[in-house]
Amino acid sequence: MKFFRALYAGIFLLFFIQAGVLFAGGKQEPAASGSPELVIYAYDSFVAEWGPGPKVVPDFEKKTGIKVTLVSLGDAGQVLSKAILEKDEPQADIIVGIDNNLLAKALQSGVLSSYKPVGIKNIPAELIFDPSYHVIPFDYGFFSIIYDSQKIQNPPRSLDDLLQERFSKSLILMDPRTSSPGMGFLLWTVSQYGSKYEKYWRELMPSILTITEGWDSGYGLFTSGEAPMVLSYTTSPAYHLEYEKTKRYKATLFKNGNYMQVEGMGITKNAPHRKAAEQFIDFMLTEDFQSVIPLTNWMFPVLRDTPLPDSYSAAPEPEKKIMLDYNTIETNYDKWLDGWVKAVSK
Amino acid sequence: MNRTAGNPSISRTLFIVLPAVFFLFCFVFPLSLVLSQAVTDSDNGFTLNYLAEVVRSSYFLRIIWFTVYQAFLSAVFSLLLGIPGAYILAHFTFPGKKILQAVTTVPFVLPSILVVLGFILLFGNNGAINKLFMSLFHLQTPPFRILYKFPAIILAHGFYNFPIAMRVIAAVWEKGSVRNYEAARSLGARGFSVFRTISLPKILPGIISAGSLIFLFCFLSFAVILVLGGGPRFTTMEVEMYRLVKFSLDFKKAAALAAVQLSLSCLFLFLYTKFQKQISYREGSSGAVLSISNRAGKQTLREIPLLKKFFLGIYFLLTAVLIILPLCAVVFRSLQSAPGWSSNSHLSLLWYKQLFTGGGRSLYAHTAQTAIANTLIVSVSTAVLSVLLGTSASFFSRKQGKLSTITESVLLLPMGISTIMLGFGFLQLTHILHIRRGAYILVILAHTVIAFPFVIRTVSPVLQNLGSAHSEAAATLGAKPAQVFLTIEAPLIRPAVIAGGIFAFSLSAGEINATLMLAPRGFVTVPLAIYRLIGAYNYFGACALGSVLIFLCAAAFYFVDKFLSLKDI
Repeated sequence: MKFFRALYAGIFLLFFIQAGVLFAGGKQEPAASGSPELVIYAYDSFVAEWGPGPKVVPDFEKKTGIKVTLVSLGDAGQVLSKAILEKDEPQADIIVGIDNNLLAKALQSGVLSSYKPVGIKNIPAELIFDPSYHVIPFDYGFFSIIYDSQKIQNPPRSLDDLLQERFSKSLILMDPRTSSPGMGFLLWTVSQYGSKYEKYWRELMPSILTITEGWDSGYGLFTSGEAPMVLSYTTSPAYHLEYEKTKRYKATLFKNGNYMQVEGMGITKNAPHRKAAEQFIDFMLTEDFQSVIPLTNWMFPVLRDTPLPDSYSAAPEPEKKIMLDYNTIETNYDKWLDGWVKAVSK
Repeated sequence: MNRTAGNPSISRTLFIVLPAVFFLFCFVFPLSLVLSQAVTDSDNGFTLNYLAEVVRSSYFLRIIWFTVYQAFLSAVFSLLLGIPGAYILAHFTFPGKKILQAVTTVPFVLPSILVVLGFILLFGNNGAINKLFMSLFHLQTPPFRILYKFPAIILAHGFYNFPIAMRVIAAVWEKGSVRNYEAARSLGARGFSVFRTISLPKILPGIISAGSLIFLFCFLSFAVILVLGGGPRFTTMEVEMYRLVKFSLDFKKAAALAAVQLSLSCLFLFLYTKFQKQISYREGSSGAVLSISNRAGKQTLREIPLLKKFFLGIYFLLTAVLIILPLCAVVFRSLQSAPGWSSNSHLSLLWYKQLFTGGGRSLYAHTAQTAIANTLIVSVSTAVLSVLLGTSASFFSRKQGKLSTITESVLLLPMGISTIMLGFGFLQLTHILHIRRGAYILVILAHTVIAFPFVIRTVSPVLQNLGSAHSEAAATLGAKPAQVFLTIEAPLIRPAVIAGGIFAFSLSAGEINATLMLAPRGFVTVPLAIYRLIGAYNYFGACALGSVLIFLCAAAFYFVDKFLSLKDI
């Protein structure tokens, strides 16, 4: 039957084409042919069309003539893991997304090198979370319980309030093992309750509707109306105000403060294009870069006096800012996670 | 025993060469890279520590036990749902039957995130069902809080899998003559005792075959557990591996867990293959004619007594709720325009326009079209490759015997492995071979590994059922083996081959885990695009693209059924 003969022929043809693609595909990577270049690893939402990447990179390229390759690798944790995998032969010059919670792991892994940019003096001291300058901050935010004002008129004002019976099955949280807001919230409870945090979590269980793996699915469930409260950032209401023209979703500021997250980027050790990387960090601390952050990354810019968009009137900054020391985090990370898993698995 | 005359072992062995090479390079090699991680410590010395930890720590044992437990309950639930449906499919014919069959198979190949989304849209606290009851009875809080708990997992698995039970068992039920039934009835047996003594033994191999397959899929289930289970309390091995690989970077523990998972999968795969073969050879004595269902044996709607019609109706309602409504919820959501979640939404094609013509912050226009184009390229390549390899392998293993069973079980192994670990293994492969991540052929190869067992699964039973009468007749008339193959066997298995190809296409079109890991920068397929749309708040856009995928797969399966149904012979 001619059919099978044709089929076999078609297969081999296909293989030829694919083999060509196999090698052609390799050429998609720009060759280091002498023109200055820079490779940056960042998390997905940084690189996405709606993120800061596509706005700041062309600007930098225009200003310096350095061609930039921006690689998206999932979330911040995965960026770091890729860098660790490539430790002996780094493919990237800069990694973006190391926050105050990941700092210990990043420093321990030894994949970064120190660089103190001149522009660092324009950053408030409290935001410089790495005194060794391996990681330079580029934005910051505060975790917050966001609530649907149509369903809740009397929002919680503290972690203890979340235990109230009226909030039964009303809260969406994230898994600290797989999500940085999840981790932030866990550290928040540790900073408030100390060694009694496990007891708090056991008592919190009735209020939790579900613990999702990532912020995306959690926030999605929230906006779908599955539950009236979700763990997110104080800037989330600004997003809804900016794009949906609604003030329906509001952030809470707790009496004892909100946990802070500062994100940074760092130059890899033995980076192939060290000079270009330093230039990018310098650029990052200028207003051209920083003014892009609020509406793309939905975080606050670190540079003092950067103008904020009007919609940020809905994004409060708490008076009390909580942040655990990164050495404490490093020492107790695993222990806290184990305790958390035990508390929520009953 | 069916011996295919005129097939000396040389040509038979040839059949296995290409599949074997592919299998070794694209499955065994990446897999061994992963599994070797489980037994080497950081200095590359051999160690059983990680394996020991996984099978001894109470934390992991609880996870392993839960994985088995939920898979078992899900399989039982799916079977219970599927058996009445199988009865209907096997004994009645009604208009729209083919469409129903096509639609009910779609969820199986959709990206699981989409299925989960549909489930939430329908059964969630703010889902269609709750909203309906709340407005009907003026309730303040949702009456049905089904999701984010253990029952939701079983329910969602049932949704996914009961069509498999339905089709596999129906296929067995349809076969053969009504002589046994008539004999039993003439001896005075009625209703249930007929079922118990005649039907049940007949469909039992089908039940076990479908059951072990469904068990396997639920065993490896990922998105359903992740999103609908509610959290760390209900974690399976797959979810845990995902966490270990992607976040904790604990590759060795993940690999050890994968080893345990694979061993358990092998067991069930073997069970499945064994019973599948038993089904195929059931009607061996009538090898002269393809034992296909004959229309004459089925009743039409009019012939059914009222009481039966009532139960039929109930059953269809159940099926609809479980299967079709979540899909409808996704499609319906894509047609809504509701800025800012206000309740004044109206029907609109806004999201489709946005996807395909630009606008919107989340995806540029060309991305959606590129995604579809890429998906077509990848999935068609996967289908063609899978068909070639799967059919070849089926020819090798068509004979009865231990070698065949073992070969087939081995080749079906990719069905029993976590696609996350497979993707990870491929990544290791590219690392070692210094292949740049820039080639999308890796995605095609990974998809083929996942899909070609399904081609074997489709083609092999038909091939084995062919019987030897025709081939023997042709041989006695002087036909050479190659001629026998080309003129007799190939046309007869063509429908099954095409069906397998379309199945492979759909699997590839909906695959996300391995693609996520292997896709080169800027390369996006439809599931990947849906995933990114969901990640960008754009649930409407995700539903729109998802609806496109649903219709694509439904159409594909409709044509599969047309091809495979040989009722018109």
